[in-house]
Amino acid sequence: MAITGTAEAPTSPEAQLPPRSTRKAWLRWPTDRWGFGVAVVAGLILLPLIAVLLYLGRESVEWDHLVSTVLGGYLKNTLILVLAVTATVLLMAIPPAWIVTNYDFPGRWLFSWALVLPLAIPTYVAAFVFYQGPEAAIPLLIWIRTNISIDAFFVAELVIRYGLLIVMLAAVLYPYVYLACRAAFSQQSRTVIEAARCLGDSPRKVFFGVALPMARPAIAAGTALVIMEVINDYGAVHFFGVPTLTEGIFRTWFNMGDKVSALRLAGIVMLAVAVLLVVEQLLRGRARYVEAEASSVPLVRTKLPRGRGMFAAMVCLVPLSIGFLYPVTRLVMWAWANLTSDAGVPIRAEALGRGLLLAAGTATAVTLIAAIFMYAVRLRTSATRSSLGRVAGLGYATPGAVIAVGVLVAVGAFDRLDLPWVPIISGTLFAIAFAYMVRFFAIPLQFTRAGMDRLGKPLEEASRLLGKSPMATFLKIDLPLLRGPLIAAGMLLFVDILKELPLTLILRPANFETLATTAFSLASEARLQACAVPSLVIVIAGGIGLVVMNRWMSAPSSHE
Amino acid sequence: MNDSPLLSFRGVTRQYRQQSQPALDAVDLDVERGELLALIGESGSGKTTLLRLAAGLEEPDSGSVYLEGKCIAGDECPGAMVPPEKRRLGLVFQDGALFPHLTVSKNVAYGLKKFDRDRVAHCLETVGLTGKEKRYPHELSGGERQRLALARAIAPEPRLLLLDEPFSHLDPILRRKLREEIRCILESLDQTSLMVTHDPEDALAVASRVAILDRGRILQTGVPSEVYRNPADQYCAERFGPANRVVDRESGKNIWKRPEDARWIACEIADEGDMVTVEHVRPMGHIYEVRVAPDEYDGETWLCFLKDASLIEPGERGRVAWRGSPEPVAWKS
Repeated sequence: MAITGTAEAPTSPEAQLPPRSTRKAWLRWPTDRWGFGVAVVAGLILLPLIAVLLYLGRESVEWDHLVSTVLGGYLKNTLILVLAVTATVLLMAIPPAWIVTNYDFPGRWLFSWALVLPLAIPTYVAAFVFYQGPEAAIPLLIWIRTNISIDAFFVAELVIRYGLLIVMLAAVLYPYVYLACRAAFSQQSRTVIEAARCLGDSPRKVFFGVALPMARPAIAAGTALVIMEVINDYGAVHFFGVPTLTEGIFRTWFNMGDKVSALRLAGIVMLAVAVLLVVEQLLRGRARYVEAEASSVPLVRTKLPRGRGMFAAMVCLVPLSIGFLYPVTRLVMWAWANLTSDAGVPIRAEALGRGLLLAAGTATAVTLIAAIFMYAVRLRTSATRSSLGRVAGLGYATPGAVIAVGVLVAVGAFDRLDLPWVPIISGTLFAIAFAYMVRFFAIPLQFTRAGMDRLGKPLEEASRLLGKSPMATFLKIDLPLLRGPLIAAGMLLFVDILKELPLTLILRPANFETLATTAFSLASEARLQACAVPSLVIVIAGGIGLVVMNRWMSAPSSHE
Repeated sequence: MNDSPLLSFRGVTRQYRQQSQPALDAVDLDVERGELLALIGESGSGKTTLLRLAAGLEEPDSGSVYLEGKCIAGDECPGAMVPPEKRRLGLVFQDGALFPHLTVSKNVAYGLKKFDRDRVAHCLETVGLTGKEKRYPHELSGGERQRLALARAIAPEPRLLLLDEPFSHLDPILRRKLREEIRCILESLDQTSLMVTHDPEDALAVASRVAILDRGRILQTGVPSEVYRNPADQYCAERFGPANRVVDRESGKNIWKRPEDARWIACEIADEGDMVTVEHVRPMGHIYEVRVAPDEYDGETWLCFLKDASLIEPGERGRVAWRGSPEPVAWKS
């Protein structure tokens, strides 16, 4: 008879233990170096965020004063901007996304990618370009004051200022929704849309009845990013004199020296963003189903007749002009004037070089840390590790100003420990690099995760079975095979660090300038021609970042 | 030398959180030195889980795994699981899992402590890939890739070679050719191996011993011919093709008989076999497929493959006896 070995099986008492998975796995301490590393990095990233939340409970005398005077205004302005910008963004983003995926008209190919370009323009750069608007309206305002009434003057001034700010913010932020919608519309099952058509629905009804509801999760995701950017913005609201919560953090701490109240404001902002993320998750619901059933039926675009084709091109041209063509044209003109005229402000190349070096160094280091972190997270399937992996990306949803004040508090507390042999960190480049890492860790994390998903587990397992340790496997297998995504992530990170304003303003060491802070301070002094030069450099770098990201996103997987 | 089996599972249970049924349910299994044990099971039977437990890619929830008599994972040695890189096992993956950025010879050399040109050349020669050292995996055909995967796995001279459905991505003709080759290679190396497959034909053709796994339990183990001829139950029987339920006269238990083991006795009065009525006769070329309804089995039919049934007609009465059956017993009167 067959040898089953049942007879000689040792009966150990431990066989009676409950299965390991039912024990509280998420409470276990990390048992190896990798798990320890994951916990340390995730803990460091969470530290500033926790620091902010801890201050919510502190007593403060000035807080009551703040509540009774300016807090209402901060909240109201933030809410108005969020709602109005969101509505404008939806109007600007969804029609072009639908048109470029479903219709053929002159310039369609050009528009389909050029519509993304406004992302390269930071809100504060767009703001000082558009700040010319209210000035141009001064004659009109004077006429209103002299001929109608002083009240009408105030109303008109508010409408022009807020209106322009809203349109301007929407015009540089709409690409988030545009990108999400374009992907959703082109992935939507063609058969569903064709079925709706065959059932006799008009194109309009197909759009509102089928395509739009199916794209809802994508729209929600894009809109969430837009709202985060609106809350994050400091430069634009500063120029337009529309104080939001973020502006409030700056004023409260740096103008009034009230740290506790500033941190409370930051806590409120964090909670608002948390609510936003939850709402977005709820709206997303079972969205994955929609994306999963991408059809293989090739997409056939309807060719538009000449007149309607022109109209379609106009629909695409309007947001592109406001968000990209007009600001870039103005910047180029100013920069040219500054460089050619004798009265132009010289650009301190040396100072800017240090800023660039900081961005490049931080981007490289953070990308590598993120790659190792992600590798460690995936090394063992455990609930603790995967949740730490997700938590480490939370900084991306947190406004830069909030992270900056959190880092100030956390680093300050660390310095007060006065550990031997550890230098003071507050006010150093190290503190600001750390803050960038907290803020942007999600970017390289996302790219590495996607790259590792495509590589799959077997290569890793094969290497381990061939006798290589996890570290050797990471160096010999993962790192070379993930080169593409890592370069793309580093590039994007570099551009984002270059653009980041509020965080840099708060944390930069004395006399340290980056492109963003130079542009902002020159613009604050109304030296528009001078500030056009660093702004243009940021825009060009951002454009390159977009191209790299786009190529990586559409590139076929390597080695196939 | 140690006489404990090379690899043993003792009461190994693995439960995935999402599933109500355990992937492995108190499995006991030994892999003896020098044998090629094939583990047969459908998808979801737990066969891949067992392989991954052996490799150290997963941990058992209870029970223990032993390598050369030493505990390498489980209750016997809690917290001291030997990681995969310290086990000296080879694994041939389903899709090869070749390193796409390394050449053929670098893939083979990956598991060696230091680059050994002779060893690499020898391994490539063994699997018949000499002359392709400089190629990259994507420049090889499907069969060549699996051979490279084998060469890479045997290069560090593993104590035990694990094969995870090594032929499942290949077309039937290549599959047949490659499994013959691999069998020869493993035999010539005297390589102890544990192969997982869902295809009973693979198992019967390659293995020196097979184990049948269903829903996390081992139903039967034995040499291929025995498992084929004397299935332990209906499931084991049907894994290898059609089988007929026959009640053993002595023990009263169900046993299963293969259609080709049927013998036709035209005489109605004989002291062996069961009385049957022929339902249909189909000439299939090399054999006749005859379906009969035995009197004693209400509603059941038997499938018989007979060499010559040209004279048998539907409706005819006769007897069917089984080769390899226990001694014939007299018909109870």
